Amino acid sequence: MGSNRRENLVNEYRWPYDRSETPSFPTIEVNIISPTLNVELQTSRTLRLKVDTGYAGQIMLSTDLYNQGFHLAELPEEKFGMYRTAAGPVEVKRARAMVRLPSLSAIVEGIVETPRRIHFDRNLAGRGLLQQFQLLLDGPKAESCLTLG
Amino acid sequence: MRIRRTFTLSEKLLREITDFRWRNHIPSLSQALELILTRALDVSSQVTVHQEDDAVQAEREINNKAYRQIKATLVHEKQGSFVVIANGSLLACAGTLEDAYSILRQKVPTARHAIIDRIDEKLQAEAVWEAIGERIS
Repeated sequence: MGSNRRENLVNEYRWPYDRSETPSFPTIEVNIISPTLNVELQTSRTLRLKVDTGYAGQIMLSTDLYNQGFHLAELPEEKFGMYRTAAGPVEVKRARAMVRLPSLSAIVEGIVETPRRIHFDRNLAGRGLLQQFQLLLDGPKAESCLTLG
Repeated sequence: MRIRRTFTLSEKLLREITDFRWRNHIPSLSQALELILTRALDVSSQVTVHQEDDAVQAEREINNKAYRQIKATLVHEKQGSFVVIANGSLLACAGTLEDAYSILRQKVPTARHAIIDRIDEKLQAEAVWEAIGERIS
């Protein structure tokens, strides 16, 4: 879990880098609420997202996680997206989710995506999400520090 | 060892392969085809194909058909609201996403797929994912 500090009326959230890869990978943590029909709205899942500034969208979910309820808040197919990658085009399906940062009371609406025809096993935070915050990548400390201005 | 086989390709695909051959100064069409297939196989070997649940696919098709049929009306009358479509029909227009979730739970508790769309929202349809050699499986 990330620690929550208050300094000069600014909220900061810090998370350690993911050390499962070398060099370690910056991450942020969010709560994502899906419309899964058999759980209460307050039930949300805390997710650690890898920071991927090469990804233009907001949140890319793993196939397995997307399948846990996000088909119930899907956008129409005409609003699905396409990413051009070095490995060829990747079509993504999109759904509407409620996203919040730990300890932040406000919930923002977000778009989550996952590849439509390819099994994907990671959870990513892209530029579409990161542009809403100030994010400091502290390499020597291996910490991401997200600031709500 | 090289083996000769006969295949049937679409005219469009053959034209694209021929263009690829000339653009890259490849001596023969066979070599061009071999290069393209080798590259495609390299990519395919890194990818696990995902097959969606049949029930989800079937409901998605029904809901998207309904969406296309009523979209023009929604654009004029429901700007800014969250349109909720399930079981092939418009369930409600909610003021918030939270309300849209609640409507789904109350009205279609067994649905496998639903559409929640904000009518006036524009999304980027296509973008570049910058990673080189992105591992996608």
